[in-house]
Amino acid sequence: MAKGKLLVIFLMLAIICPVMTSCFDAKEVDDMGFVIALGLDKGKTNALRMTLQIAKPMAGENGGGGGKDDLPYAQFSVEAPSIFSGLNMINTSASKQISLTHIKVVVFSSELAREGLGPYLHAMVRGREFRPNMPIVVARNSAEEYLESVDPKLVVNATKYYELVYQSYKYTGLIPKVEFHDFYLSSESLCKNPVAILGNTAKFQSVEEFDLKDSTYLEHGRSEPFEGDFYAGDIPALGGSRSENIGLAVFDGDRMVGELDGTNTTLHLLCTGDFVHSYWNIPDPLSEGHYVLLDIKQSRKPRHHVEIVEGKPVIHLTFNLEGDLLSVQSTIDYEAGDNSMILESAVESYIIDQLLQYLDKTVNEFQSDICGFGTHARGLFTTWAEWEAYQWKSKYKEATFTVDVNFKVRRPGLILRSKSSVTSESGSDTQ
Amino acid sequence: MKKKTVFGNWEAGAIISNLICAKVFLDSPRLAVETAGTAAWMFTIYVSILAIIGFTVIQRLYKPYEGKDLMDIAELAAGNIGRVFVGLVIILCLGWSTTAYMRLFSENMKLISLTTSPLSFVELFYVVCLVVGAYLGMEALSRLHAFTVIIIAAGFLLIMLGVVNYIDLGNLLPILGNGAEKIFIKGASKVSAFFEILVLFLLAPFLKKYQNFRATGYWSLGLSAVFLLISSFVFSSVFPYPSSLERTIPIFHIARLIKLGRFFQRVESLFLFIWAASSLLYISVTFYFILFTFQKTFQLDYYKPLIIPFAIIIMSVSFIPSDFTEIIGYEVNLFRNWAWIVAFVMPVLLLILARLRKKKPAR
Amino acid sequence: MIPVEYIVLIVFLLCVAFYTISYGIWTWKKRNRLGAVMIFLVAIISVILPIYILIFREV
Repeated sequence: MAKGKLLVIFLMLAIICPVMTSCFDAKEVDDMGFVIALGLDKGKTNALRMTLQIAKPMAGENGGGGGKDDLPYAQFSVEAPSIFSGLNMINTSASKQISLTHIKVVVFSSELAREGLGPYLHAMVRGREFRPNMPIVVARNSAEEYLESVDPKLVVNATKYYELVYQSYKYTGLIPKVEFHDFYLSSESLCKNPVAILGNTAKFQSVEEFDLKDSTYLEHGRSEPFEGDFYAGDIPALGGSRSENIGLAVFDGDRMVGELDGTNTTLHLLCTGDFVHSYWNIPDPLSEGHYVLLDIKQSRKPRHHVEIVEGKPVIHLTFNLEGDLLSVQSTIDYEAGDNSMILESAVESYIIDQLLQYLDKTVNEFQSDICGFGTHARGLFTTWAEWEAYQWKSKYKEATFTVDVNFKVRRPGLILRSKSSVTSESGSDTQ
Repeated sequence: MKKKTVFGNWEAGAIISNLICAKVFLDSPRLAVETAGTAAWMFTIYVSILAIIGFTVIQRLYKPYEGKDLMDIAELAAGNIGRVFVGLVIILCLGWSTTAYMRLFSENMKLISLTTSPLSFVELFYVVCLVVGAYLGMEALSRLHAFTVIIIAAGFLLIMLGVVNYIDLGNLLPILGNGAEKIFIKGASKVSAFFEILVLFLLAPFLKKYQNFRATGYWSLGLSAVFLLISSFVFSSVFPYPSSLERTIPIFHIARLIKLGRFFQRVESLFLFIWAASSLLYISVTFYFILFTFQKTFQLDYYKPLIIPFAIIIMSVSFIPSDFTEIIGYEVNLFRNWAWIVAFVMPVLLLILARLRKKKPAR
Repeated sequence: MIPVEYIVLIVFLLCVAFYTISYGIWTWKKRNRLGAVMIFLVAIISVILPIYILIFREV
C-alpha cells in the first residue's frame, strides 16, 4: 500500500514537471516591446502611416542629458494597409515582439479623421490589446509630427507623461475629457456625437515669431486673446514639450467635421458636466478695460431638460457654478455688498452669452450634438423604435436653447477687501 | 445504491446559484439586451418572477415526494419507461449544457488570455477538472461550493461597483426598450435562463427534507435573480443600446473599464479568476449529474467507471460546432428558447402523473 | 500517414473502451441488460466520436 502511494506521488510529480515549462502563451515581459503611443496618418505608399512610440524600460536610469537618444521611448514609422499589418512589418526590424497592451494614447491625423475613423475604431474595439480608457487625439498637422514633438521635460517616464497630460481638463478646461470607450460608443450612438482632443506641434520657435493671426479672440468679440482663444499649435508659448493640446475636434459619427478652440472646449465641458475648475477672465462690469479673474468650479452637474415642440428639440440648460476671486484688476471692492451681486450677475450674463454662441456653433456650423443632449431626449419616447424613427441627429440642427446660469462668489481669496495702491501722486490706481 | 451523502441548504443553494449565475460571465447580459433592448433589467425581473412562479407550482406538487429525485418520480408516474425517458432527456440537456459551456468558456479564455494555445489544450484543463470533480463526488463538490461561491459573488460585486463612474441611467431609456410584446410575450421563453433549477430536483435526495428543498429553491432563485438583475442593469447602463449588442463577454468589457486613479487598473485579471472558478464549478456539477442520472436511469451499481468515457464524449461533442458563433447560435436560438419545457413543464407533468398513479416508491 | 500523436490517442481511447466494456460485461452478468447495452453504447461512442473529430474535423 505504501509502495502504491509512493508510485502515485512519483507519477504526479512526473506529470507536473512538463507543466512547469510554461504553456503556449508564456511571454517574458523583457522580450516584449510595449507601444505607449500610436499615431495614424494617411500613407503615401499605402493606406496608413503608423507611428509607434515604444517604451525603453532602461531609459532615464542614468539621468537625462538631453538629445533624442535619451528619450524614454523609440519612435518607429511604417506604411501599411492596416494597424495589425503595420505591427507585422515593424516586428521584422524590432528586436522585441511589439505589444499594444500598454498603449496610452492613439493619435489620428485630421486628414484621416475627416475621411472617417470607422475601420480603425472597429479594429481597436475588437482587439483585446487596446484599452478602453486611452484618450483619442486628432493632430492638426500629422500624427507623426505630433508624436515627434512630444518631449517630456518634467517627467522621465513617458507613460506617466501621457497619463498626466490628458488629465489637464480637470484644471484648465481647455481640452475635453475623452476616452476611447466614450468615443466609440458616441460614434455609434443615435443621441450624441464624439469629440477628440485637438493636438498639434507648436509653430513658434522663438519669442520674435509670436503673432495672433490664428487666434480666435476676434470671433469671441474681444480686443485681446484669452488663454483659450487658440487652436492647438497657435499658442504664443515656448519651453517644455513642443506638442500642444488645446481645443477639440468635432465629429459627426466617425467623421471629423470641425474644430473648436480652447474657450469653446471649456463651454463644452460645462455642458457635458465634465468641467471641474479653471481660471476665467470676466470683463469688469464697473471698469471698462479691466478684468476680474475667477477660479470657477462646477458646484453641481448641469441640469438638462429636453422637450419636443412641433417636432423640434427645445433644450433647457441650467448651470450651477461657484467661484473664488483671484484678482480684481480695477481694485473695485467686489468682495461684499451690492458690488458682489453686480459681479455675479455680470458673470452669469457673460457665461450665458458664451454658451449660446457655442451652442449656436454646434447647431448651425457643425450640426453635431457633441454635448449629448439626445441622451436626455430618449426618455420622451416609450420604445426604441419610436426613438430611432425620430432621428435625433438630423433633428438637432433645428434645436433651440434656453440657458440659465446660477453663479455665486464663494471666497474672496486671501484678501477680504480690495484697496488700490497709493503712489506719490495721489489718486493713481495701479495694481 | 444507498445515498449516504447529505448536505445542507447553504451548500445546495450555492450549487444552484452558481449553476444559474455562471451564465452572467458568458452572454446572459447581452441576451437580455438582445431580447428587450434598453429594458433588459425589466426583462430580467420578469423572467425571474416567471421562474419563481414555476418553482412555486413544482414545490407544492413535490410535497408528498420528500427525498425523491425526478427519476424516482418518473418511475412512479410511468414505470421503467418513464424513468428511462426522463433520464435520457435530463442527460441530453445537462450534456448539452456541459459541452456548450465548456466550449464557450474555453473559447472565451482563448479570446481573453490564452490566444495562441490550441483549443484542445484549454479544454483539457476543464476536462481534468470534470474528471477530478466526478471522482471526488457530490459531497466534496458541495463543500467546495460552500466557500468558493462567496468569493465569486464578492468578486463579481466588486467589479460591478468599480464601474459606478460609467453608469448612465439615461442608457436605460426609452423605458420599454424593444416593446412590451418582445419583452413579455416573446421573452417569456427566456425563462430557460433558469433551466439549471432542474438540478435541484436531482439534489432532492441529498437534501432529504421537503423544507430544505423548498428553502433552497427559493433562496437560490432569489439570489440568482438578484445577480442576473445586477449584471443586466449595470451592463445596459454602461454600454448604451445598440452598442451593447456587440460585446462578446459583457462582464469582461465592464471589468476592462475599471480605472481608479493611476494604479488601480486592469482589473479584468481578477475577473479571470472568478470567472474560471465559476465555470469550473459549473461544469463539474453538471458532469457529475450526467453520471448520476445515467447510473440511476439504467440502475447501475457504480458510475465511476463511466467518468472517463463520458469525459471523452463531452470533450468530443464540444468540438462539433465549427466556430464560436455557431455554438452561440445553438445555445441562444435553440436551447435557451426551449429548455424551460424540461426544467418546468416536465417536472409538473411528472408530479401530476405520479399523483394520479400513486405507485410504490422506486428502490 | 497518421501522426504518432493520433496513434497514441487512439490506443488510449481503446484502453478506455476496453475498461468500459468490461464494466458493461459485468453489468450484463448482473442481469441488468439495458444498463449493459447502454454502457456498451457509451464505450463505442467514446471511441468513434473522438476519432471522427480528429480525422474529419481536424481539430
